[in-house]
Amino acid sequence: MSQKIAPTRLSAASPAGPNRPAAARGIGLHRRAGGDVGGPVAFPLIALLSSVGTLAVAAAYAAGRDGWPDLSALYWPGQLLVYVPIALRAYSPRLTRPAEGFALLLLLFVQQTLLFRMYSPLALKYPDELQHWRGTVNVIQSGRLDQANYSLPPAVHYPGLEALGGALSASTGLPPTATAFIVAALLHLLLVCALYVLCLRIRADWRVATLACVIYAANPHFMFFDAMYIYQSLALPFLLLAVWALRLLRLPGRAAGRWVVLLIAIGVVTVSHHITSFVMVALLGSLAASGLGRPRPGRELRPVAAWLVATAAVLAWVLLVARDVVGYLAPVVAQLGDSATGLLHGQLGATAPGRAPLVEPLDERLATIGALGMLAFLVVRGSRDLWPERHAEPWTLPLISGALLIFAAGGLRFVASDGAELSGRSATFIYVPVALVAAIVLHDIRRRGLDHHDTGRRGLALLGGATPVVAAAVILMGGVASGWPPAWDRLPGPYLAAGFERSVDPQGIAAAEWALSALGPGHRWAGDLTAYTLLATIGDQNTVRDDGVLFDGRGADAAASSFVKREDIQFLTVDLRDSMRLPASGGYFPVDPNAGRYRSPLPRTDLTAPDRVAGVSRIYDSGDIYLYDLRGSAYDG
Amino acid sequence: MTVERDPFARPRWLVTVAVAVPLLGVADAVGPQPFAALGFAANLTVLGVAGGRALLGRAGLSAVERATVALALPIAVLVLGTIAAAALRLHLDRPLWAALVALAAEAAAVGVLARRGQPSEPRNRRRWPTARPEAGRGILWGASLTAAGAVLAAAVALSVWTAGRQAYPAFSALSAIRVGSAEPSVRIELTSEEAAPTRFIVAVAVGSARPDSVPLRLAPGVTWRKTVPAPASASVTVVADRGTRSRVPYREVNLTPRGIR
Repeated sequence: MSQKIAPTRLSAASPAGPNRPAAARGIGLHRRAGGDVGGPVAFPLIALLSSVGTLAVAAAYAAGRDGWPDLSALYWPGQLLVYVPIALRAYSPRLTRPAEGFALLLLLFVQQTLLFRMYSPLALKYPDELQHWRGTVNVIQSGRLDQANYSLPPAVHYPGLEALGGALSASTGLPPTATAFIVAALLHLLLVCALYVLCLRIRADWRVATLACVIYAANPHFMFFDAMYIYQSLALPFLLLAVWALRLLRLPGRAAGRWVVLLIAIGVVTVSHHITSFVMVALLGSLAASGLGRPRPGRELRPVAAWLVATAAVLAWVLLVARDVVGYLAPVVAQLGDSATGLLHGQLGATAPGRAPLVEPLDERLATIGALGMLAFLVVRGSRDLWPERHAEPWTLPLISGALLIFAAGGLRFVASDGAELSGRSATFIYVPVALVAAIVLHDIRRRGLDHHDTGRRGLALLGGATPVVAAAVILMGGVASGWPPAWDRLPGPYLAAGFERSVDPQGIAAAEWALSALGPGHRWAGDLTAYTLLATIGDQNTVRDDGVLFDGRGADAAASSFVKREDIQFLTVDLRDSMRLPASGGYFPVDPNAGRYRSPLPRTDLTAPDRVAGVSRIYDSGDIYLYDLRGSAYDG
Repeated sequence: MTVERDPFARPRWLVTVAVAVPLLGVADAVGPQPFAALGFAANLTVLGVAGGRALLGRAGLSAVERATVALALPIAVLVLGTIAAAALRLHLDRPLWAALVALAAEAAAVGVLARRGQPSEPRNRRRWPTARPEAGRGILWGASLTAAGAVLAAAVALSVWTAGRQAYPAFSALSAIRVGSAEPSVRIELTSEEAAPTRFIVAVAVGSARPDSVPLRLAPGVTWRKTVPAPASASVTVVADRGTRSRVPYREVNLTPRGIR
């Protein structure tokens, strides 16, 4: 295997050569008595340690399912045991071979993929995954890409993932759920590889690339959300590959082939995910601007051409195919606008109507702030170190600018309503430059540490040895704590009302399957948050979001009747467990004006109010779940 | 730089691949499983490896970069090819995907074959040194990696086992819907998801008529179905009691008369 990378790196902040073994000078200084962690034997031991961490998390999951509270405490030690040894090895000067560095990344990928899938190893439960499962089933059953997906309407116009999943499922005979497991894992692996090769191509230093990938793996959504079977998981690696292919264009020869790869990557991003395609236009735009900003002899026009192609492709797709995406994203944009307005009026982090504020335990909030602060420090220092290189390397400024967006993401958590979710979502993109800049700085810090290590002051040496452990732990904990799932959802367990994946249970699934088999697809339904997810995905029904007015116990009053007629609602589902438990996520309905303000569960008499409305038929009863037919009733009057 | 021994430079090998690809495509399109899956996977592999080679060569690319392209290309071809086929109003099914992958793989193989006449590409002399155990440490390596694999397998087994036997409350679902317009009737279903075989009594009342009772014994996972004639103008009430005689209704559904409020 060859590892030589063409010399297109940013001129290094470190005087060490790209392939110079950094440990060569310091390895003797760091060798501990009797220890051999620096030798090649370290990798198997790290693999063993991190596997024990995975087993600990599996035990915590099992404890959540079977109600063993003592074992559930193993979750955090397990997470740390998976990540910290790998991170320390990636940072260690004893990491002297690129193969071992990449093997560490593959090890981390395997462990984190297992941590994600072991939450629900036998079925898809995450609502986002169920939405794309529905789209994939539609493709397989209809042989078309334009079947309505009521659970996620824009996905019909960004059908890349469904096309891939449908092709693999139909060609291999695997069921859609197994296909989703495999495709999601492959795409996550591709993300790791794409990030690695991009960092390697930008910095031409495998140690920096390894470290950058390890840091990125601690971003809030990497382990769960970005590993899901969702359309962003397909678009994200191809976004990185587009930038990588653009970087390859600097090499002599084979320009046509590289352009083809670049265009393919742009094409896949364009047809796969809206936000990622917009990020691609912005990113290529910034690279184009930085290339144009150079003096004429060194001016780069290829990024401009790539940006023009990407912009034309995305614009054409949005204007000709995905015209509904503007309406789909408008509420988020409006929410950001409201937050900005609120900020001007001194309202910090006001919660958007219909959404519950995020409640985090204090220790997790501290870890989140600690991780953000640590990365922000590294980004500031890295930006300062990289700043002198801006004339020699045109990508320096976009890299610094992208990394500094960590302040925007951090601010979003506290300023914007629903900021924690928006911040987490944006971290997927922002952490790419953040991780690279942080890795460059850490590589430099480690190198300087080696230069000044033999001072004979054991106390300082011990402190210096503990710092990376604490830093890795805090970065990982902060990332997991601020990502998905939230604290109350972190372990699988018994049913929770309005608890996303924790609400997916056999009774809800049975009701959704019955609705599809008995009534057919596409009927208009109102229900709570869980019904909204299960009926729209497993049941292939057309569900509405802001239907709390039907659950206020007033039956078919004017407001309810007006709502039913306006939304053309035909059926209503009621889950009596909403009268026994508070909503885990803060609100009972997808858009709930009372989110975060419930002090007691919904009254049972309010939930069963349709039984007292003339003309309403109760067509399904499974004990906790009632399905009502409102057609021809007083609601529909 | 050195000129390496390159398997892609051997015409016999390449011709074999170029001939095998359509055959694999046929196996994929019309063959039984698992041959279809194997043909599909083989052609995807050819597409990834040969396509990457045809487009980018290998000079200047690291092993990870080549592997990344080999993984990404088949995904991209499936995504873009499927969307193009859908835009052409083609029916998306296994033969179409088999043809798509076979065509792309064949094009990639031919692309590599076409470049064969050109001088072989130089390859970087530096190899990626792999970590190998020192003498006498092989046993420790093997033991550690085996133990790591065993621990991971235990973690997966624990998760699968506990997820498979996770206890959810048992339930039974009773439903009734009107079906048929020429001969209107009501289709009734009772599905048992109880923990053990359970006796039920299902009472069906159409309009003001005396309820008709049906005793049942359902094993877990079994659905009982019955269709009862019922005019649209008549209300229908179905009650399921658990046990051998009626007590408090266990499940109850009702259909109001159509057109009457």
